[in-house]
Amino acid sequence: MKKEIKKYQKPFKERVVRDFKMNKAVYFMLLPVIVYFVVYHYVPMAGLIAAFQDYKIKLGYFHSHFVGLKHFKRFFESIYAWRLIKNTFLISIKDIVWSYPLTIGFALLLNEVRNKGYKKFVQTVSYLPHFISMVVVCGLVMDFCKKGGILSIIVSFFTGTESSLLSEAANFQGIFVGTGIWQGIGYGTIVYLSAISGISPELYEAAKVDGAGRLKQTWHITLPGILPTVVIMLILRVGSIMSVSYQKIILLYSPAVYETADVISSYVYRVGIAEGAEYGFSSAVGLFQSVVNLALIIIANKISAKITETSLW
Amino acid sequence: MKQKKAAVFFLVAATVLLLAVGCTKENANQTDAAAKAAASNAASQDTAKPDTQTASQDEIISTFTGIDGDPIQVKSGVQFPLKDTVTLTFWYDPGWNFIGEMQSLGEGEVWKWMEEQTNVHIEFIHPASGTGEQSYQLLFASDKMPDILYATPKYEYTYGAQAAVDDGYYYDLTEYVAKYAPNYTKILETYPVINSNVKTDDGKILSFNQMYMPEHSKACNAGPSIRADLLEKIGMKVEDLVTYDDWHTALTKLKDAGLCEVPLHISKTGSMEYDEFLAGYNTAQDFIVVDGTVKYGPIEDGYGEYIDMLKQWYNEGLIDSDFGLNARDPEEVDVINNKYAAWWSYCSWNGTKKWNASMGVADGFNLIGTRLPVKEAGQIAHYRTPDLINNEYGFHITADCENVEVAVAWFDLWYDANVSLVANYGLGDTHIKNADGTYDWSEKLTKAEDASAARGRYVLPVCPFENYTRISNAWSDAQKESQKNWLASSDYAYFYPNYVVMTAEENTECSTIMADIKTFVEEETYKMVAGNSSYTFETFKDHIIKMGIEDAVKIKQDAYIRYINR
Repeated sequence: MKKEIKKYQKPFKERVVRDFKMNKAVYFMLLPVIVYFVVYHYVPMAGLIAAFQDYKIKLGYFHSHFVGLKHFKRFFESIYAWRLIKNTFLISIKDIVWSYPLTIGFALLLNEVRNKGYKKFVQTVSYLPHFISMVVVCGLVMDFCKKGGILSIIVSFFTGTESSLLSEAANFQGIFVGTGIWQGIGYGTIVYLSAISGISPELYEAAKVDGAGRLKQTWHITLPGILPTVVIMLILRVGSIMSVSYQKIILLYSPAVYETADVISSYVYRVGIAEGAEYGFSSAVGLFQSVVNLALIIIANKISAKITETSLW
Repeated sequence: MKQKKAAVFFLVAATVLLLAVGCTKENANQTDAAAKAAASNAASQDTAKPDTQTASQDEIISTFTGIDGDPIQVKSGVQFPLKDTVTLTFWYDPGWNFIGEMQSLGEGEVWKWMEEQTNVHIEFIHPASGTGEQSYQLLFASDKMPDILYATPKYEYTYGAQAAVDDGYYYDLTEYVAKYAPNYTKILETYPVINSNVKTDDGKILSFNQMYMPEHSKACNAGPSIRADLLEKIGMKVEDLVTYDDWHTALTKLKDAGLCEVPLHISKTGSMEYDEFLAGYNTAQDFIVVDGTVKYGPIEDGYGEYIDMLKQWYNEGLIDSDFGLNARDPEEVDVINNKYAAWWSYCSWNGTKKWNASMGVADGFNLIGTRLPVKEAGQIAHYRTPDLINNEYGFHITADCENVEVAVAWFDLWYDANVSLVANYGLGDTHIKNADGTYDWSEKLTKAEDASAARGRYVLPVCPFENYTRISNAWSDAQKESQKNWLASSDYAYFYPNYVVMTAEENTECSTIMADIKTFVEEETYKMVAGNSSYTFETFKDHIIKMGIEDAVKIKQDAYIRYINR
């Protein structure tokens, strides 16, 4: 079959010319996209060379001093390297473990709300925190968690002693993830709600005819219906495990909680500020993070393709 | 399939094309920059330009209108006013609210006066509030830099001023100053201390330094302060606070009397901004110099004693149980609510001035600077903000400046005695003349509703050649007393001078070592005080030594020796 088709194919060049003549407009429309990706995504990749240089702007990539793996060595020889990597992973994984099921659950619950007005109200209220600036959110969290703050008081009902929550290393990751959920849960439901709305109503009708209740419908129709979306989102999230929001970390942490709060990006920021703009060092650490992220996303995709038959590529 | 292949072809073609374009352009810029840098270096060796008069043989005297409206004779590098107007761009981060309702500092009276005298027009470039650091760094990536830059330590080129000259950003001013800056040269000749402070180890001049008139220099203006009104209620006076034991007694009484929740505010480092509270233990949290030997403060025995003391105070509730979250200054809301009795403060905030004006604190609120606490009465604490004759930073002229001779000669004018009088005290009714011929600010400045904005409008908020008495004479009694107390039992003998310059390699090596050590000291200091550290002071010390502190100390020592030998 394949061979037969090949026989009838014209040379590549001719095909391109012919295709171009036929679909001129389409190619024309493609051009900006290609330019965009090349200019903003591929050309900058050449800048990764800075990770191996003592990069200086005036000297540029061609004249900056080449130092090989110096910056990588410096990072990994730091006595904190292991702690930074560990914290980065732990915070990301805790975030995934908690915020994933909760967001999906919230989306399912929203889907079951029949009163349109009430649903809109809940959605608006839960989306709102997403639009508050990180600085403001962290200001609120700091205030709530300090001695005499509302969260501290609530916690003191259970523990008996009132203390400043954010100055204890054991609490930090919990507060970080918890406030992340508060801020992101509503906004996170959007993609799942749209996936749910794509499920054919006929399926639900059929299930009803078969005598399935609300719970059974959710379990057997809604969940499998949005499974591809869930998996894709999860794969994408796994691909950014190494990138923890450093703004939030820096706004919330203190020397008292470095033990659990200091992550790669906050460390780079701190070290960078102490000695000005160290492009080489930052690029090296950034490259390391990206490589790990890439590896993780490939692994996650492989696993997903095997188990759920859903994958990115 | 067909389409896909075609698309791939296009993508590859476009990539190659764009890469090619990108590279050529970058290359072109490269050569450009290199040429410019070479030119600027050549220029610094160049003798005179034909169209500019030099001051090497004959002194050039320009005649200006002085502070009292009389003509004054000013030595200058070129003849002012210039025949044709020269415009210079000036990057300047005003930092505080000096600009007020003006568009730029250039609307200030003194700047306008200067333009009339010299025919040099200054175009100010102010970064947006809070973006100074970032926008300073961005200047190095821009095509054309402003002619003059005001660089504070925060803002300097990452690899130091010398590197900025070598990389072709700044002019090396050594030759130009000798030729076109008679006033600046004269100051350097008169005061050997300033001369060695402002020059690099190789004797080069890279900037016009911001300096104080040596007879009217800036003495310590910040330190530990306490609410005298609360002290009075427990029957104590500010003078009673001499030793750490005195402090302990006072803080305990204040807490027991219920006058405040937490008597002492310390920052998250476990210390104060310039380690004034730690100085009595003969150490600091940074590098110190003891009789010419550089040491790292946190591994000195005094640091261990200090931590033991803090630990006790922590357990007794004299400092915040979560001081790890504290910033340098207490939050205003806590001050209003009488949470603290003592904290670190600038002179400008002492007395009731700042707190009253902005927030309306309790009646009788009276914050007064205290002596730096010591172990035994009569001891001197050797670490605090240094007294300053000159800052280690100043004004750079960039390699993009086309009129470098004019820029140097113009900037040099500010260092003339008569011109600096105008800069310090303004024109007309902004100053009063005392009987002994000295000047002071008039009520137009001292009683102004917005003091900063008034300073920006009527005088130079930051003078290249500043008379600090213009500020200290305007202080209230509380402020004057604060400074007297801070100076009473302290000097800054252990302070590692800011004028020391490390080479780029030393800088990188030192900061590589120090990055982890700083994190370690910060973290473990808090934990040791809070009692949940796995280190004792001895193991803490050993660990820092193991992290390579001795290499960093050696670098600092070498750089210090070079500074001493200048």
